[in-house]
Amino acid sequence: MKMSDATRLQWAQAMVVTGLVLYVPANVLPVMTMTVVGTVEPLTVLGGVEELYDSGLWPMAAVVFLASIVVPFLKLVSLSWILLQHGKPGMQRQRTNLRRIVHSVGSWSMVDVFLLAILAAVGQLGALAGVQAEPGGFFFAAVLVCSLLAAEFYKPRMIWQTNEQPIP
Amino acid sequence: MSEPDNEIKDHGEIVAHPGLRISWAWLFPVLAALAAGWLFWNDWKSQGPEVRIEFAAAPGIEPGKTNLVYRGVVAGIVKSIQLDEKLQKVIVGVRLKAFASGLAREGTLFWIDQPVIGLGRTSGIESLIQGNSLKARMGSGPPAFRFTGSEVVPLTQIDEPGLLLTLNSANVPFLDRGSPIYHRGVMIGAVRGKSLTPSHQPVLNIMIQKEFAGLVTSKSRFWSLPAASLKLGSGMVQLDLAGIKALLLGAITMDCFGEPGPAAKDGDEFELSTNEFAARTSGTPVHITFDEGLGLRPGITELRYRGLAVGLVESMAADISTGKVETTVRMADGYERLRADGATFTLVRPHISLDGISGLETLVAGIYIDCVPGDGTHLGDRFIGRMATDAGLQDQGLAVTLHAKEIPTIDKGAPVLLRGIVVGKVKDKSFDENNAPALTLVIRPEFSKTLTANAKFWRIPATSIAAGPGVLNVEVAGVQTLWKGGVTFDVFGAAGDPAKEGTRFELFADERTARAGSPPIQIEFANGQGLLAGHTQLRYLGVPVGLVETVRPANGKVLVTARFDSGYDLLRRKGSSFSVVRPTISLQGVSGLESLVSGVYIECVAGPQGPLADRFRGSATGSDSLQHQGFPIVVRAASTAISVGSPVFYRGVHVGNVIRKSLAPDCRSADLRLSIDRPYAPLLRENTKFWDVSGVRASLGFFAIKVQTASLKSLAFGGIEFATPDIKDMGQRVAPGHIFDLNAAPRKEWLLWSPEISGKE
Repeated sequence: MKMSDATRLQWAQAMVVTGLVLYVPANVLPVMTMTVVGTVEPLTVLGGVEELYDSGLWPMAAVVFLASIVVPFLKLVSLSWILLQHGKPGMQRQRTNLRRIVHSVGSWSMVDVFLLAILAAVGQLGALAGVQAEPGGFFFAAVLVCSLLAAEFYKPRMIWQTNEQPIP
Repeated sequence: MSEPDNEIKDHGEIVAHPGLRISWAWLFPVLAALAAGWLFWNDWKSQGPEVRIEFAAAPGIEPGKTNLVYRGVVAGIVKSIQLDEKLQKVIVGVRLKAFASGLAREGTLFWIDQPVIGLGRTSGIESLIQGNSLKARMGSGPPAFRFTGSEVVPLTQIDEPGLLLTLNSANVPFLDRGSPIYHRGVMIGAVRGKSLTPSHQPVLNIMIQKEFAGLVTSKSRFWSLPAASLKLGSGMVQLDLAGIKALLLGAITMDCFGEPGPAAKDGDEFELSTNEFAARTSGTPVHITFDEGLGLRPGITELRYRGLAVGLVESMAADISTGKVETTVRMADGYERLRADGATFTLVRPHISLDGISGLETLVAGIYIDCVPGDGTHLGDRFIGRMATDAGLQDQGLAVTLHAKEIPTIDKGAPVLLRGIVVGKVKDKSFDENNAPALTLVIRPEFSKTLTANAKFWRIPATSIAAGPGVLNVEVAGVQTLWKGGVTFDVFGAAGDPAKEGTRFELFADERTARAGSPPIQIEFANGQGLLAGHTQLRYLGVPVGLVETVRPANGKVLVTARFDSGYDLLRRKGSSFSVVRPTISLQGVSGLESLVSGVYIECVAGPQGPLADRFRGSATGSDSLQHQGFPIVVRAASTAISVGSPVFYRGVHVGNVIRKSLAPDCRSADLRLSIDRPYAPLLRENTKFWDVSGVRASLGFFAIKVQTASLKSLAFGGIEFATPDIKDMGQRVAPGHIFDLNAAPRKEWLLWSPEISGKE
């Protein structure tokens, strides 16, 4: 698809904003509902971390916390910063590096969603236990997709464009 | 996109207006915002109000996890759990869902559903797995947000109960929360709990399900259904089992018995009866007082009318001040009439006596109260009960009292006889106000007319032996009278006015005393030997006609008071004579021999027609000549050997006797009083001649010695012969008591007189 840089920029910005908007429901709404021997327990992402931490699995909690909450947020924040700096001179090298990191981390970010999908598919143990995906999961995935797309739309070379210079 | 192309074609100044040209991409954040916003708004919208519920304890409730379940649907979630400031209560905050916001109203009941596994019911099994949950039953009041949770699981989890009632009962042994309430076999409610009133009376709180609430009216009766009942009766063994649930929990049955009534309201109080019969008999209470309550059992002892159970003893209490037992009896509807004034209530117990065996069925079925309705119109509620042993069941009738100096051998229940027929009973034996023994008799109503005011009562001896010449009669008046004695009565002739209630009668010792009912006469005797008060008879022509009442000496004589049987007034005429008859054995004859056996008696001879007297002079002559009511004449002689009893002859025919020998009033001669048999009275004329034929008259004839004697009797005691002249000389007939002269020997011509006298009377 041929897009002008201005269009790309706008798309990237739109995606970041969308991601930020969706980040709220993704963390507030439960991503899944676990039914274990009759107990229906809706779990948000943060709730899942808490649950893990309460169970004594704090390293796991830390990993999930980082991977599912901190990293997506950092990605969105990073992209926001990068996009805000668009067309300004300076720190262009750092921006390029940051964008590369965001882009490369993005390929792992869907692991959570994938895990959720597997859980929902496998964890159907009839009356005893069951896992059901909830809207929160959708939002979570959408946040990830948004950040991926934003990173994709915003090409590294666009970091080097400045307002003073005409488009080469 | 190729940049060199752009450069080449770029002929003008390109001004970038990045802010002006808006890409479609911006639709995404808008959409996302909208979606998120809609979601949050939806979520917020689905939240109802938060309610706070107080519990004494909230086991298994976790904030954020425990749901509030209403009709099986999650209607809210527990958001918070706190203790109040005093740490006395748990306050559970529940966020209701929007659709369930209607639960936030007064009357809504919240409870913690816990597994209950009991004998009668099992509930909350699901909470075994899911953990406890909070449940709710919607109320119907205005909105409210603070509630007090119920500590127990309500009996109806879906609907509010239709009616909450209270049952009062003496005791509620096995009924408990959850015990079902049936109406004709359909469960319409359950016991909510039992408690005590402030006066320590047990009460059951029950609830009736909404759809059955209309069945309960103010006339409804409740009774506890025994889990199992075993009935033993004659020829019957019946085991009732009321289902396994009732067996475990007990059950209550409700019925109205067809009576319409206004519908019951919440909080109405009812009585819980012990059984169906008790429930049916819940009419007006009747108080019956008994002398003792042995065997009476509240709730069991029945009131029966003609063998039919029509009531039940509800309660009983002893009154120490009166020493009686007061029972409260309730009658079944439709038998109110039985408590009309005059009704009698008799406690029937097994009774075995000589009267017979009665109330035998009570040995098995228990004692009961027999009811005989009265004939009053006013319905009473207080009665004096009686014992069946008092005087039989037919204790009604004419009551009279008998008085006597002593009343041996007669007991309560002894029969009252009239000519051998039992017409009543002795109801009571006690002292009257004068400390004299008295008997109270009750004459059965059907015989009450036979008792007249002039009736005489006497005791029936258990046995009586009547012995006389040719008679030996041993009477045993029945086993019952042998044991208890008895009383009999008779009116002896003319019936008088019917006796009134409470009339006093005298009780005589025996029939003879009773019969001797005329006014007393007094007879003076020189000698009272053999005269016994109450035994010596007065006889007239050999028939007992009266009895000596008292014998006492007075002024050197014996004064006898005697009474005649009614109808013998002729013996009380002035001029009647009385003589004591004792056995006499002499040459003159043997007389009064029967008195050897029957005792001395007084022979009476009626006086001539005239006024009655009450004092007589008796003679001690033991002569039976007095029995001859002959024509009395007097024969006067200077002196004579003829003695009383000597015969009087006419032409050799014995026509009379000498009945008395005494001095003439002037003492110059002896008077012989003769009694000439009535048929021969016309023979006595003014010129009749009397001569002495005593001894042996021997005349020495030429050829023979002729020994002439009137009779052997006259040989010993002498005799008198008389003759009457022929018609022209005989004269007029004499009056009784005419005085003749006694000649020593007849003149020859006297012996030749042979008048024709036809005037036999």
